[in-house]
Amino acid sequence: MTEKSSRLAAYWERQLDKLDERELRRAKRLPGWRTRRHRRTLAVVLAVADVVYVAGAAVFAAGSTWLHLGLLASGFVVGGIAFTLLKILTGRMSGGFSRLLDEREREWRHRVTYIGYQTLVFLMLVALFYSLFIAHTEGGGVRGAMMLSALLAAGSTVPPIVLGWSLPDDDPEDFEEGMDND
Amino acid sequence: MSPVRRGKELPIYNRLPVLRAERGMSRAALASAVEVNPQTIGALERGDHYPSLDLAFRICAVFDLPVEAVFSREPFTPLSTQVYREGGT
Repeated sequence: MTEKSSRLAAYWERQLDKLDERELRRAKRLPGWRTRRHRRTLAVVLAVADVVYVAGAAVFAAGSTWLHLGLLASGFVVGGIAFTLLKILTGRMSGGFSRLLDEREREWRHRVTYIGYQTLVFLMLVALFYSLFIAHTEGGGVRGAMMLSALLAAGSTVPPIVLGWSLPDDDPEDFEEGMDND
Repeated sequence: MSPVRRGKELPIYNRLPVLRAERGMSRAALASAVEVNPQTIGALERGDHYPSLDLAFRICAVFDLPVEAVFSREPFTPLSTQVYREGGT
């Protein structure tokens, strides 16, 4: 290994260590919310926000501008908040590097990213047929692109939604540091 | 989840909570010793996750015990019963 590539490898290792430390800190945030009930509520909120966002794309050029912007903005803001909270509450399993995950977390990541991939393929087919259907209407190209981007954004939220729905309550004992029977 | 592709999923029982308690070891300490997330030790203890052979060997090395003393296909009898009632070996 050359000096340059070994420096790059060392830099990458340091970045991964930093990510690992950040994730360990994040795993202890919002302790009162680390229950299945809260995660499922957020998963439903995010799924509804996705539908609102897609509806906003569907009314582009067909409905009023305010309705279009209102739906897009509310879907984006509500979905963004729910997505951020879900990422904190579900950890790195929906998209972390393999090097940072243990075998159970990798198993979860494989499961949710596979479901996410399948859903995204289906949503892209929907976008394709929608674009073909409206191709000859006024502003058809832009409407198709809007729908494509909305469905792409919705599809990318599937892994945290599945994780948020599936993970059990956190067990406080997992984070206890010591036992007193020495 | 079992890595076996087809067929009935068979349970794997373990003695991790008892062995940790005997040694005054927290889940976080065991997790650190075998280089996994503490939640994975919790999942093993609850039976939500079955370990790979590599992880099973790492755990056995921490307790300095053979695999059959830590993991089993059959539910374990309590250690005290095994030692005092069955003339444990």
